[in-house]
Amino acid sequence: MAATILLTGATDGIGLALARIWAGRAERLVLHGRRPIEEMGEALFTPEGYCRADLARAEAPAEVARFLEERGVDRLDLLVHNAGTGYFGDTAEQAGRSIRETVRVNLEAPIELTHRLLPLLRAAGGRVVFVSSIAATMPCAEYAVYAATKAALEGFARSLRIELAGEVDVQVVRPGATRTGMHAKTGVPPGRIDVERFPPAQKVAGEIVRAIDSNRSRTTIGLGNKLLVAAGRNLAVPLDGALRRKERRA
Amino acid sequence: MKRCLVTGAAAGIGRALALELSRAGFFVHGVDVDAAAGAATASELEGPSDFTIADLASDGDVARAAAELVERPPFDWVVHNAGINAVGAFARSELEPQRRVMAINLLAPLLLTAELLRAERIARGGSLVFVSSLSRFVGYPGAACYAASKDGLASYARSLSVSLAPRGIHVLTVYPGPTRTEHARRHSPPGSSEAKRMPPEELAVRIRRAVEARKRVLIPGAANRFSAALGHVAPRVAERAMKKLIFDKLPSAGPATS
Ligand SMILES: NC(=O)c1ccc[n+]([C@@H]2O[C@H](COP(=O)([O-])OP(=O)(O)OC[C@H]3O[C@@H](n4cnc5c(N)ncnc54)[C@H](OP(=O)(O)O)[C@@H]3O)[C@@H](O)[C@H]2O)c1
Repeated sequence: MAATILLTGATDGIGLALARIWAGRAERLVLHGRRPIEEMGEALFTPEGYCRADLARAEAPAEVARFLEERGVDRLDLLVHNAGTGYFGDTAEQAGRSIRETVRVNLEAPIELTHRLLPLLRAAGGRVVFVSSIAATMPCAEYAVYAATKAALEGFARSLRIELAGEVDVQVVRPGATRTGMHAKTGVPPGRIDVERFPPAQKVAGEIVRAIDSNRSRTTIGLGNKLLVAAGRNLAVPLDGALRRKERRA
Repeated sequence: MKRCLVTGAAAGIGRALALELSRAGFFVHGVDVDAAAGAATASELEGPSDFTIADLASDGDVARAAAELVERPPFDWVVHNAGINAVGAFARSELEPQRRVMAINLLAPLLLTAELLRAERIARGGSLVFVSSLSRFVGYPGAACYAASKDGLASYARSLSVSLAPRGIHVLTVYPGPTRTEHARRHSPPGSSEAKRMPPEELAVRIRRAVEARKRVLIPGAANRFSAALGHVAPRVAERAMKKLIFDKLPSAGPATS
């Protein structure tokens, strides 16, 4: 793969694993994150190739675009929107601030960044990839806003793909539960889930890379997750009914 | 007297709902950005009402509206109806109108719902209604951000239908197709026919009945149900149809020259 790649949320979890895969393969790899570069011990992160911008801030997409411009990046073969955040808990408990941040980081930032970088993607006949989640396809009682932002992202991608057909490819990849720090960061209580049982980020990242190469419009990562998505889509009435009963008993 | 909250109550589907629910004996609390149109709607209502004037695209206004609403007695029905569209090829659209679409259609209902729930202002056994769009099933090239906002809303509604079950709060998601409102007229390709669109009064009756029957999904009208089914089993066919029906007819469609 000889290409220019921009990857958001490259400082942890799936993004970091993707960065490690592409580091040896891409012609030019630009990584993004919100952490200061000093925190990133790896040689992967260089001042020329690491763009720091907190996507919770409205100015971030413009800053990322400027970073590329200042470094003479005028074409993008691949733009991967991977940065993501969330909140785990009762919908009534999620503060307005957290709701806004989740919508900003997971939805508005990728939309705006796509808008600003479309000329670069067009110049390369490139591809934009949105990292969604299987949460987009099923009820998520304890992370309703997170799931809503992922469903919205998929809706955006679906219509954009039609609009840009023949010019820029638009793809959605949906991982399921993955062994990353995200669960702790979003407030899943320790003991609620066994993160160790989830597939490691390296494995999921490898499958994401294969999914991107396949050029399919939507790919769910992993067989178990594919089954969950099929159930979420096609068995909504019995599935949601069962989840409601479970919730009432709890 | 039962109480309902209707956002975007000054015009279109929201106005029709306000009239319908007022006739059905509800106290109607409307939210709208347009004070004059709000007052006009209020004067047509058969029963008591109240209006909160707020621009749901503004963080400050949403916070102020929420603070006002939680001071009132609980609502039996809460209808998130307010929505706008900004049609045009995404590549050529301005970002600001797209931001407004997302703020009004998605962010505001998320914020208001959380505030109302936190303050226990949705009555036990009450109903929460989200007006999504038929685009959930068929896509909407030419309105990618609108489609995104309505997909997000439908997903949120589905999650709440589970999480609010223990509180006895029922959640209905409505997927209207083309409706005969100013909104639809503004955003349809020139020459598209008025007659095929559902009158808002008819939609309002269907929504009232669906809530009374505690239905969870309402796709109003046989034609819309057909489109939704097609979108479900053959998404690519539905997408191609939407492209031809809408996107290809937009004056701004086609590759940008810059
Ligand atoms: N883990 C799962 O089970 C799972 C399942 C389905 C989908 N996903 C999706 O996969 C993607 C990656 O998730 P992950 O599990 O790898 O999570 P992660 O380990 O927490 O990594 C998320 C990345 O996004 C960055 N990020 C978060 N908020 C940001 C902000 N405001 N500004 C800039 N960067 C920000 C993080 O930065 P920091 O390093 O500073 O935190 C990190 O680099 C996300 O879109 C997530 O929704 C994950």
